[in-house]
Amino acid sequence: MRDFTAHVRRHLPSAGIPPDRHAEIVDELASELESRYTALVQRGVSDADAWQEILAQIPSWPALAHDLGARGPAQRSPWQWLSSRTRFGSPSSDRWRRDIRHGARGLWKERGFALTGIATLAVCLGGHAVIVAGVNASCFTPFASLSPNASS
Amino acid sequence: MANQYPQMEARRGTVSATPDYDDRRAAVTVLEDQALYNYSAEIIESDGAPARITGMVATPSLFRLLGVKPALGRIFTEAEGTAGNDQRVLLSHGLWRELYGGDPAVIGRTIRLTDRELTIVGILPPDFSFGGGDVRFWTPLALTDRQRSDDARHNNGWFSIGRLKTGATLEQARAQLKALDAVNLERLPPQLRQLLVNAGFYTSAEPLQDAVVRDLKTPLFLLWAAAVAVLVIGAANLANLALVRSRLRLGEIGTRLAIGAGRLDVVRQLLVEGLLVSLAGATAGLLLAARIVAALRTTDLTAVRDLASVHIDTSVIAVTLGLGMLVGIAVGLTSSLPLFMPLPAILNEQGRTRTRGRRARVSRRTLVVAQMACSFVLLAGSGLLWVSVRNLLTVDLGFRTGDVLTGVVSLPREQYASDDAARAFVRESLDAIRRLPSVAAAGATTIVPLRGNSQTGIILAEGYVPKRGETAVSGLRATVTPGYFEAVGTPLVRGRYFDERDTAASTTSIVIDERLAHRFWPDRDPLGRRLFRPANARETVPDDKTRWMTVIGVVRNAQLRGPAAADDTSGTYYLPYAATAPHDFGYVIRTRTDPASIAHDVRRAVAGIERQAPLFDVRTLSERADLSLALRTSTMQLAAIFALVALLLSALGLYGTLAYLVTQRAREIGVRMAIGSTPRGIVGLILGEGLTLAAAGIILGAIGVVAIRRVLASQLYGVDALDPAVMMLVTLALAAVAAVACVYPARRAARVDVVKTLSAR
Repeated sequence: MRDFTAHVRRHLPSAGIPPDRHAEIVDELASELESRYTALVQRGVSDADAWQEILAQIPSWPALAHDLGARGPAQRSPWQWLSSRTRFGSPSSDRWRRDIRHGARGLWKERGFALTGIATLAVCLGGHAVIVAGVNASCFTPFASLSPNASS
Repeated sequence: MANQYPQMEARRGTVSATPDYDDRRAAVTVLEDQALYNYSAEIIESDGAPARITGMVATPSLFRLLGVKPALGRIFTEAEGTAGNDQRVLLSHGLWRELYGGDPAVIGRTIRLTDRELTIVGILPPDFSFGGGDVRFWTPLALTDRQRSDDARHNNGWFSIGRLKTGATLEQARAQLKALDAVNLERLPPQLRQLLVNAGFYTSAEPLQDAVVRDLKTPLFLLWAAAVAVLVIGAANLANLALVRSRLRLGEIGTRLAIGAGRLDVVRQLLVEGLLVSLAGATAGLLLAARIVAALRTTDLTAVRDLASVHIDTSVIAVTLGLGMLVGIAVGLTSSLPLFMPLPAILNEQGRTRTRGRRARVSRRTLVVAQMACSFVLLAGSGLLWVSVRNLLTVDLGFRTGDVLTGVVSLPREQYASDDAARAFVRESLDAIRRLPSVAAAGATTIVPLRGNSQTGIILAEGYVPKRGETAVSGLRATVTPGYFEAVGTPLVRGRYFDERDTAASTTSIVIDERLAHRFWPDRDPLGRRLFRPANARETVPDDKTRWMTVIGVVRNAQLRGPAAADDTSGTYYLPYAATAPHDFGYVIRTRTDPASIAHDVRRAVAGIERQAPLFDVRTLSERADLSLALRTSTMQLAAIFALVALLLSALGLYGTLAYLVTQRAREIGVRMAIGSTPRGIVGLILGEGLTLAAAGIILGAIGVVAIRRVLASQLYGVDALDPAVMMLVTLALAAVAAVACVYPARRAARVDVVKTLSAR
């Protein structure tokens, strides 16, 4: 496995970006590149080709650093960002799997948020489910359960 | 279909009389089939001991109407619903397995039920259930000629159902019933007709389902509304939280966008995260719900409601997961909102233009106000329910529930065919019970207090002239032995209780309660005055055959049907047991020690006299008092739990919003401090903000309570839906919680570092 973090750290200019922000960006970039790389390899692309593809995705590190540091006026219209620069065309189940993995990792990083959300919903949906079970049993289940082939 | 007499009995009728069956079959032609049924009980020998099982007596048409195909054998034929041919029985699948191990050869064999030998004609399928899960056998109803005659009219004791023809409506059935009532009224002598008209007599028809869940529907739907409100409050909190989180994550998101991820990719990513959280929450919620349902099964509620059918089934799971997904999508989309800003703004992290910030703040405030309003309604509702239950607990029942044991027996019909045999049994069994060491007093009654069963009957007084438009007086009719009043503790107001003088020979004694006494003789002494019970609806005018009963005592009003049923009837009258010797009755036993501890001895004492009459439904009277309120208590407790969760969640929501506002307005706060605001002033500013939101919520919530006061009032007892004390307390509680939620954000605001904040940009 290649060391993406080292790769990014080596290439991303640190000028104009505060150090902790820089470290954060390195982490994030590395994980993004890694997931794209893994997706390529899973689709049968050879290790070397995948690596080339990844390298090609960031044509200019200084430009990226400038974008990231972006203090100046926007260079592009915002809606341009809506279309991905790179299309993987991978089957959608792969993409979903990647999203789920990525999402789980993101939530793990913010366990507090995730746990608060899960706990809130557990209480709300749990309470609701108890009442729905009661309503279902008494108001929506027929008084007499008829045999399935009842015709009259 | 049921006979109703709204002016005579406030309680809604559920039953009809036997002649109505033939009438309705002829007249209500929009029904393709009709049936009459009622519950019954029999004793069977099981494992060498007599056991009591519940069943049903039904016209053979019931099974046809329900479309039941027997698992084995056949259902009843029409002929088996006639006198002399009715010695047949259908067994439930469960009872068949239990008694015969599922042996198919039992069809045609006889089974002994209490003291009758009945031929088993069929076994019903395992999934058949009608009118409750504990019905285990069915016998055919064979109406006698007397039961079919006019004498039995308005002698209501049977459930009457029918199935509408395809395309026919309930309205058509009601119209036909109305026409039938009119025809029947015409045939009656004018005096009786007037009585029925004054009673407001009519025949009601409603869907079976509605009739069954009548008392349950409103509380359940109110609770459902409460559950939905709590869910919305929780979802609003999550959306708020997600919004804050995605703003904090703008840096990370910006990075991804900068290296070429599309915005839709990021939106999808956020959606996936939202769904992960919400589906995990929904799963945890379902597990929690299963635990709660299991816990509910151990409460008093099981004794008053069949909870077996309440379970977390596929539809509940589907609803919960579906709602969870909805919330997840909503949360994901909310957190995607900040994405639709120019990239540099995103990367600037704070990325808020003035207008967007203001709009977001307004919508956050709206959410908080709505949460507070929902909480107010829920708190007020559960507070009112709590006051109602407390009121009901303090109602003077007219008897003392402490230290009393009760239990019921049914004497076998054939063995105790004569009244003397029944009298002898009651006398001997009471003697045996009274001989037990810790028994202070004991008696028998046909209406065990708070047990839920009761009989009513018309009673008329000699010389009493009904006022114009007044109908006959229908009272609760209890048949009691000497010792009953002493045991149950109903105080005597005038005269005497029943004693050994009131034997079969002197069937003329009657004890009435104060309500009846007041109704008939408002300003005269009721003692020694005479009353009579018309044997049937036509004999409402006394003649020389009338059997008069003399009032020997007046007792305090007793709420035999429970504290909330106060104004159901015009009163209660008590007849001496010796006069009519009914076969179904219960014992009321006052003890000197814990009443539950003598249950075993009492059972043995009764079984020692008649093995075939096992004592059942043995409970202390205080248990029955709790059970009679179990539905209200459980509703109140569930509502209270929802209200507290709502309160907690909306407090968190208010806290989160204020805390966020403080960070967003740090600059404004800095400026204020720079121009001389004291930290105290800043605390005031934030507290003011929070309490304004809470106040708006309280006002909206109060409007909400006014809006639903009618529905609410139907569930309350002795308290107005807009009770000022409850409203005041709820307002104070909500304000206090809101203030607590403000404290931390306010203190943080007061500590804003002026220099740092102002030099930040």
